[in-house]
Amino acid sequence: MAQNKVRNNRAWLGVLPVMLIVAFSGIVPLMTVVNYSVQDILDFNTRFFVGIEWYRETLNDPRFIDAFLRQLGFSAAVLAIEIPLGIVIARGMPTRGLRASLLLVLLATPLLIPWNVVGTIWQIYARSDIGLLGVTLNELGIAFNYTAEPLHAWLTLLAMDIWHWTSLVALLAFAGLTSVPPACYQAAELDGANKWQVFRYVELPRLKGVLIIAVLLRLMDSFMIYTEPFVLTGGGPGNTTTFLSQYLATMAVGQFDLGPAAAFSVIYFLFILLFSWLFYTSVMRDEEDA
Amino acid sequence: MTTSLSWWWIELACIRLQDVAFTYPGAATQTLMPLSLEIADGEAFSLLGASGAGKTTLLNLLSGILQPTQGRIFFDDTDVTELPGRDRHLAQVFQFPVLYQSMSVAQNLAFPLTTRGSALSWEAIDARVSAIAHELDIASILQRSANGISLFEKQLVAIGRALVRPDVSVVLLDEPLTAVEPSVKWRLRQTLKQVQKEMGVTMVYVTHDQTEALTFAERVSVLADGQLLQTGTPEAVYQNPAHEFVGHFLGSPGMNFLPIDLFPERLQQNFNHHCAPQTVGFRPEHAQLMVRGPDELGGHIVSQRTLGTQQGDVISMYGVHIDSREVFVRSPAEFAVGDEVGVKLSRWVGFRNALWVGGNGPE
Repeated sequence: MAQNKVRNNRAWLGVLPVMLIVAFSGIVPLMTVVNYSVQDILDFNTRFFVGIEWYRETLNDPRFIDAFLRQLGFSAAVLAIEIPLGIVIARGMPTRGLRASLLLVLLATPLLIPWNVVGTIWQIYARSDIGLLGVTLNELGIAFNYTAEPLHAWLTLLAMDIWHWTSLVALLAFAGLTSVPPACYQAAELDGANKWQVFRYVELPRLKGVLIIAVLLRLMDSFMIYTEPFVLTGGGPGNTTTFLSQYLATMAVGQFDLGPAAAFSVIYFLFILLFSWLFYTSVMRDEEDA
Repeated sequence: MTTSLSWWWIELACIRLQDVAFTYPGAATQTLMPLSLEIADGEAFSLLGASGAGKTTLLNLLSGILQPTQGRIFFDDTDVTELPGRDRHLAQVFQFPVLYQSMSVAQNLAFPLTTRGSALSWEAIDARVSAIAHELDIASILQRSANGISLFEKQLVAIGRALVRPDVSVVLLDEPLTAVEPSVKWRLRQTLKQVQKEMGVTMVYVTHDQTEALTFAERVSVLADGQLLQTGTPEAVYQNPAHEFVGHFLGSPGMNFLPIDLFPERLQQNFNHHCAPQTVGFRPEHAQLMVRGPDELGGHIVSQRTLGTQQGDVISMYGVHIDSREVFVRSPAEFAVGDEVGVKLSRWVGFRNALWVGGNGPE
C-alpha cells in the first residue's frame, strides 16, 4: 500500500507539463486580471490598492445591470429558439445518400464564416436602404429599420445568431439521432407510439448527452457574444443592444478604466462559470433521480 | 405460480404465409425464395438458420417492416400483407433489450397499453402490469429505473412489454438470448417457455442456435440461403432431415454423409431396396464401432475425444476416416487412434440430390 502511494506521487511529475501550460495559458492571465481589479491604475507607475471598491462599483452600476439583464434575455432567447429548431432540423434530415451529405455541408457553412464577416453580412443584408431583407420588408409595408428601432435591432441580432449557430445544434442532434438503434423505433412502432411519443421516449433520452453539450456551448457563447453585435448594431440604437462584453470593451479599451474593467471581467467570468455549473449539476441530478 | 392466465388473451390467431418471397430493391438474387408456412394458434414456433439465411427478413415481413415482393400474409383470415406493423397485433422482442430508458420498469410495461387511445382504465392497466410482472418474476423491480437494472432483467422487461397487450396475437422473438450472459441464458429460456405455455400465446422464435430452437419450439423451420428447407417437430427435423443441409446443420457434430458406393455390396442392396439413395446420412449416435469384419463399412480411427460416461461406460467421439472421408461416431471407448474398425449403422437416412428419399427410422 505504502509503496503504491510513493509510485502514485511520482505520476504528478508526468502531469507537470500540462499544469504549466494551463497555468500560463489560463491561470496567470486570470490572476493578472484579478490583480488589476483590486487597484486603481492611473498610469504605468502610479497605482493604488483599492480592495473590493471596483467590485462594489460595478455591481451597483445601473449600466452594468442593464447590460446583464439584456445579456440574460439574449441568451435565453437564443437557447429557446436554437435548441428546438436544431432538433427539428436534425429530425427532418435524410440519414444517408447524396442529399444527406449536401445538407451537412450546407449546414456547416455558417459555422465556417468568421464572426465579424457574419456581422457584416447581416449588417448589409438588413439595411433598409440597400439590404435585401431590409428593402423587401419595407416593400411589404413594414417600416423596418434596425438602426432606429430597438425591437428591430433585437430581432435582427437574434435572426443572425440563429442563422449562425442553429447548425451547430442541428449537427450535434443529428449525430445523436444516428446513434439511436433502429430496433428502438421498431419497438415503438409496434407498441403503437405516436410521433410525439417516439420523440419524447425514444429519441430525446438518447439525445440528452449531445443536447447538454449543445446547451452549454450555446449558453457560454451567447453569453460572451461580442463581435457580431459590435459589427451589426454597435450596441445601438442607444444602448439597447449593448451586451456585457461590449460594455466591458468600452470600459477597458475605450476609456482605459483598467481597474473597473478587470473587476467587471472577473464578475463576468464568474457568472458564466456559475450558469454553466448550475445547468450541468441540475441536469446531472435529474440523471441520478431517474 | 399463476395458472389462471387463460382469461388473458383476447385474441389469438394463426399465421399463414402464402407463397411469400422477398427481394431487396436492386438486389440480383431473392433474399427469400417463395415459401408457404402456417403457424398455429398458441404455437411455440422456431425459425432456425445460420446468419444470412433470411430469418430476419422473414421476421421483418411478419412484423411489417418489409413488404413481400410476392405472396400474401394472413393472420387468421385477415390479409395483413399491406397492414403496417402497429396494426398487426403483434409484439417483438429484440436481440438486445429495447426499453424506454427514461421510464421506470412499470412505466415501460404500461406503455403499450396507454398508446392508440386504449380503452383500458388505469386500474386495469395496473392490474395487467402487476400480473405480468408477477409472471416474469420482476415485481420487485417495478419502481426501478429501466436504466439501472441488469441486462437479464432488461430483457425480461422487454418480454413483459411484448406480452402485456391484450390484443397481441403473436410475439416475435429475434434471438432474444444473444445479449444475456450464458449463466442466465437457460433461466430466461425457461421463463419464456413457461410463459408461452401458461399464456398460450403464439411465439415465433428466431435463432441460429439449434439448442434454443429445438428445446423451445413445438415445431421448427430450418432456413438456408433464403430457402425454407424443412418444417416439423424438433424430433422429425433432427431424425429425418428433408435436406442434407438440415442434417448437417443440426447436431454437434452434425450428420455424417457418405456416398452409397463406399458401402459394401450387401449394404448397398439394402439401401436400394428401401429408397435408392445417392448419399447415406447417419448421426454419430446411430453408429457403432466394432472390430472390422468382412462385408462391413470400415475405416481407421484418426481422432478420439472423451465425452463422458454413460451407464458406466466411457463414451468417446471418434473421428473415422472412410476412404479419406471423415465421419464422427459416438461409441464406447474401446478403440485407439490408428485402429482399423468397422462401422455399423443402427439408423440411417437416404438422400438423392441432397433431398430426403427415405430411411430406416420411424418416419
